[in-house]
Amino acid sequence: MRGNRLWSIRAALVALVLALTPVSPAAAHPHVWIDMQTELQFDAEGRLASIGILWIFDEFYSAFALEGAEKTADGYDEELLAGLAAINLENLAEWDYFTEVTTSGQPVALGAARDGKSTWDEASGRLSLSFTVPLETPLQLESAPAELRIFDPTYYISIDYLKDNPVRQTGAMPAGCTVERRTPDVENVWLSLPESAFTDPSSQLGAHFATIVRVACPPAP
Amino acid sequence: MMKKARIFVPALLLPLALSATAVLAQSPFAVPGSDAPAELAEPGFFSGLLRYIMAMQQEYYRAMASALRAVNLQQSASAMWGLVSISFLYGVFHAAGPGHGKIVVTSYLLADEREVKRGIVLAFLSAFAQALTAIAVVGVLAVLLGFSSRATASTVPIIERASFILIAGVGVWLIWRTLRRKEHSHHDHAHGHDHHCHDHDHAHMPGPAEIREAATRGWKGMAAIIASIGLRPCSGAILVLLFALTQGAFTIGALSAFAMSVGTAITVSALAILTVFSKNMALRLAGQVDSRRSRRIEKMLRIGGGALLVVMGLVLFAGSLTAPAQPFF
Repeated sequence: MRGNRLWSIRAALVALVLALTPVSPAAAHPHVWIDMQTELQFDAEGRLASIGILWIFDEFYSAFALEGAEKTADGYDEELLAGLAAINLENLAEWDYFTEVTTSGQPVALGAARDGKSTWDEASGRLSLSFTVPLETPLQLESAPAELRIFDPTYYISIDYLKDNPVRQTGAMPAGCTVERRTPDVENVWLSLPESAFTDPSSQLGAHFATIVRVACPPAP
Repeated sequence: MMKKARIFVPALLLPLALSATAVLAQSPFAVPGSDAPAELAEPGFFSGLLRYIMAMQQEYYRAMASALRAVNLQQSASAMWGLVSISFLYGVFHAAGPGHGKIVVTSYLLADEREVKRGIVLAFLSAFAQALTAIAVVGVLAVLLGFSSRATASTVPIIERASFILIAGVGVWLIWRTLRRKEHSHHDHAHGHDHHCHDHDHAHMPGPAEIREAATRGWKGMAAIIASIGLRPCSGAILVLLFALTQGAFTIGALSAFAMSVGTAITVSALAILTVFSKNMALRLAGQVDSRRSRRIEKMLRIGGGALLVVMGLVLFAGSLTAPAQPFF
């Protein structure tokens, strides 16, 4: 009887501990969300030469980025938006524009981004940024497929493809090439991540949530 | 006693396990307030559930922006209702995520409260206080003084520091009071002292005056803990208010902040009920075995809960000093 009661006390105390447990906070989570479209740009020789990227920022970031800027009936000043795009790309350079191209598991060197342009959409209240990231050396895909991922390793920013027209191709893509897109289920990723993804600073948390675009071409005859 | 101590170890060590502050890497797209320091590292328990909560919270957070814009553009009752319900749901999930003084509320209840009703009152009042602080901060700094969103959000860590110090202060006060009361009862109730046992816990019945005194003390402690939690503005409310301001709709933001605080109050109330209920159950069961043991556990809870508040207040304060600044452009 006494032993039983002691057991009950223990159970009640465990309940207490549980009452405290769910209050423990999670660490990293996105503060900025980007909707994205990409364009695989092939050169005349059928090599992957550059990646065109369009980012549409969420309403919060859009509002804060343009706070204090003068707004007319036509929206924001062109010069102001051009300046914003230039600063964005300058800051993004050290992050390689959050862009990763790999082939046979090896990263492909990327050049400096060009054609940066910011646009404001009054109807949705959202700012967007478009730019082109060139591959330092255009990539022959007949020898090995390429994979493209665009993500913020810290997962401060969540970058997700738009449902509408997510990946396009321009230029002379070789005949028979296939473009596949694999998007991890965000909820599943959250539920299955190892603890080290949060505690190890080099773990690239954002990579777990990144969509992979895989371009494969049949071997050259 | 030793067995109890062993059971208590996890409860007491838990917040310590959380004390390693996560360092946010600088991002090229920082938003105001994201350098808020009080985010702690992820513990092992319940992390799957936590992450699910985080995912839900983010969904509602994003939805709030468009709901707020819709209210501002359409000025319709249905848009208003949409914003209120989304804000409320955001509040429910937000309170289950980081921040919001839940550990503080539960530690305090663990230490110093036996009434479920007052636990709920505490949850609601501290949530409303956090919403009011957020409205006051944005109202005074951004609306009246014309601070930018970034400048306004950057004052939040300073206010938070004051809150953390107050929390530690409440902890010190709880411990001091518990230790002092022991002396007090030793002198005043010497007649009830059991001389065969050198133990200062006597099982005597409290008189009406003592009960009244305890009740006043309880309200005083509650006021102190509400002030210290409420001083720290709700981060979600700050962001929504700043966003509302960029849309020229501060009052709509305030409405959203209040709906949010009702949601957080409900989540925190649930935790408060669970805490007080399980504490009372533990004390009652222990009392059936041995009333001295029950009193000892209660005293341990007071001192342990007070110590928790001190440790949390200091750890959060230290974390707020080392938080990196975020570039904003």
